[in-house]
Amino acid sequence: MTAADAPRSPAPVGLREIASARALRTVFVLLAMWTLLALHPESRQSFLSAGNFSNLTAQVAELVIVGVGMTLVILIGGIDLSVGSGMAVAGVIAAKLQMDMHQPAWVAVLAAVAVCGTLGAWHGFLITRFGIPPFIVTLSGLLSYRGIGLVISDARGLSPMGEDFQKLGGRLAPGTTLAICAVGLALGVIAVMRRKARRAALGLPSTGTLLLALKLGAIVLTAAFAAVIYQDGVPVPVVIAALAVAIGALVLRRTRLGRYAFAIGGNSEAARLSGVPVAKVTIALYLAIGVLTALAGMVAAARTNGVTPGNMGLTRELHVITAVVIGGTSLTGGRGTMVGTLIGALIFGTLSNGMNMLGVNSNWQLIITGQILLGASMLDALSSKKVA
Amino acid sequence: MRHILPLVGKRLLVMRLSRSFVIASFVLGSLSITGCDKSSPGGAGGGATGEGGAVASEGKTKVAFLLATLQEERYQKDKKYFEEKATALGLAPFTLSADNDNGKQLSQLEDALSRGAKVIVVQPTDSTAAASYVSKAHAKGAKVVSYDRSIKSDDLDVYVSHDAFKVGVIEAEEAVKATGGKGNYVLLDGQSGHSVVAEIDRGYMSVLKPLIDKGDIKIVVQRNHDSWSPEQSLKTMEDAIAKTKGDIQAVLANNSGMARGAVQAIQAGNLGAKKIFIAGSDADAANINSVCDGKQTIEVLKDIKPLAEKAAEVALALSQNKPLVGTLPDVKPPTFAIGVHLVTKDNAKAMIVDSGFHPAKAVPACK
Repeated sequence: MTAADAPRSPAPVGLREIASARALRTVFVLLAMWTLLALHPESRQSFLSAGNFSNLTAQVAELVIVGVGMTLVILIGGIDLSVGSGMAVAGVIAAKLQMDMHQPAWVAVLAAVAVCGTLGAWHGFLITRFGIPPFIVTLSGLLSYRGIGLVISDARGLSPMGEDFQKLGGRLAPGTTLAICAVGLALGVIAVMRRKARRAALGLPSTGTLLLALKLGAIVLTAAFAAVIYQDGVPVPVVIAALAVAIGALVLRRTRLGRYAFAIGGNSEAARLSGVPVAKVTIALYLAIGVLTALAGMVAAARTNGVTPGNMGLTRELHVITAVVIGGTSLTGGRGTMVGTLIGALIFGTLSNGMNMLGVNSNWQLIITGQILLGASMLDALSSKKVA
Repeated sequence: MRHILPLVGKRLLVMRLSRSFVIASFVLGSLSITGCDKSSPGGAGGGATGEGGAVASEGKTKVAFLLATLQEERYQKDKKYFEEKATALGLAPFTLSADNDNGKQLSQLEDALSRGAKVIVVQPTDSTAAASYVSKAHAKGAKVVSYDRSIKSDDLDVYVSHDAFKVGVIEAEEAVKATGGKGNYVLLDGQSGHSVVAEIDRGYMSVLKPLIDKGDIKIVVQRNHDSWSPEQSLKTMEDAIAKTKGDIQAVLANNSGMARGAVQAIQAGNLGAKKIFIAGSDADAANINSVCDGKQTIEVLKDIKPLAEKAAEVALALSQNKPLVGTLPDVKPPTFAIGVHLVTKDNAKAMIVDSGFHPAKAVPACK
């Protein structure tokens, strides 16, 4: 980075940053969809209600949680197809511990997280030690974990979960919710201002005033929006998902692990030659997606207050990958953001929620969702070619 | 960092923004197209919901019809008859289907409540997990009708279903008649956790148990099939044939799809000439046709129309807070058991074609 790289005036920096934010494009798509649903005669009364937005976000929470992990492994050019089955295993373990062994919720959650985390690390080990493609390693997981879930549970539906466990699918008190919104607002503003201060300290061109205002405006709007839609209390799954995204984003942007991940995704061999511990990073990221898969399984089991091992999380891996890809993460690795994944999951959830509101036949919903995935990736591919 | 002139930056911005609009319009386009498609009267497999859309639903009581799946032939009928009857009764019905996914069905329930549905008629993907639907709906002041499969909740408002126990009894009695009460039996069960599976099996056993205890009948294979999958049942049957070296006298399946899997396996195994007894229930057209050309022995007809129409009537009564008395006395919640009928080669034309359950061209072998 030399002085010559610096653009001549601050204003273009702002514009260019806006333009280069892939997440922004998807935000527009999401807002456009919401506008349509808010205006459509069939959905306008119901879609814009606080209750519906609260539901919508609770519905995508499980996608977002796994999506954070999926973004990490896709960033390094990997994939994890085992997450749907992993959720079922996590759910079965948690349910069994509560129903048969009468353990409290925290034991059940810890056990599920430990098992899925271990399975994830095992995937990472197989990939790095034996060079088996991630697709195959996790495909094997997809098949075997479904089976494990069915075997442990004797293929029986397990319900109900413990009282304390069910709170994971419930809501926080409205007062706590407001406090969380306020803390989120404060943290967001501090993060933006610190970034500005750091750029100044490093002698980088300062962030444009317009962009700064836009960013702060977006944060304030989001916090206010959250305070309104969660007036009856924020669903716990949403809190878990928000934490996952925040931590995921921090790891990617602020830690060595995050930089290593981008380096491996860009060019694994080059990264290895420059001293990046490829194996360790890979194992760590697969461990992370394992843990997140277990958490998503807990959320799903708590929301439905039960586990059906045969179909819990069925095809969820594909939904998660869809959301991640819509969010602008490249399947070839090296490019992606957590916020993009969050927006991608919201688009995916809005599609299904919106089509339910509009009363679109569910068989048609499958066709439409499939075509939208294709359309989004096609436009993405075309544009990145042009830009490059 | 790339060196980018301000001009290029602007062009990039314009390009990226326009791209986002292309995507947006693409998404919106498809949403509105299907929205319109739905409002065109009488689309393929469609029902009456679409007609008039929001205009018609203004002021009418909204009733959600939540099916576990629309990916099987019979459920298109449930949707059609329910929507027609409910519309005729002055309700505003809409149908959603969950592709046999618990989480998806829960989301659809929440969406239906957001849309303001006052009565939820739901065929649960899982009878146990569905207990939470009842509390969620009640919290919003909506009533829940468990349709076709039961919901294990004490607070459920009404249960409307075919007499699944009777299905099992009819299949088993016919099997005993055809085999002289002896031989190797295969039982193909649907997805575990379904109340209907348990009920049909209870029906099977009420007939077969004494003969099994005597040692005349042997259950060589019995297993559950996820999503009631015909492909899985085909494999189960192939394995059963391999295991017994083809020594099978009767196959009892919980539904038509799995019976088709059995027919397929038996034909492919060149056992067609053995006249193995095969029973299914739902009376899918393909199965009725097989009954007529002799590849399958019987089907149990669970006529959809009386079931779906009863559910619509119950929904209306619930929305008006009228008390309900089910067909089974002293059962709580009120339960309506809809009758089922035996279909054989001899009565197939009368029961299926003449009654309008399937058009004649769908079952060419039945004359």
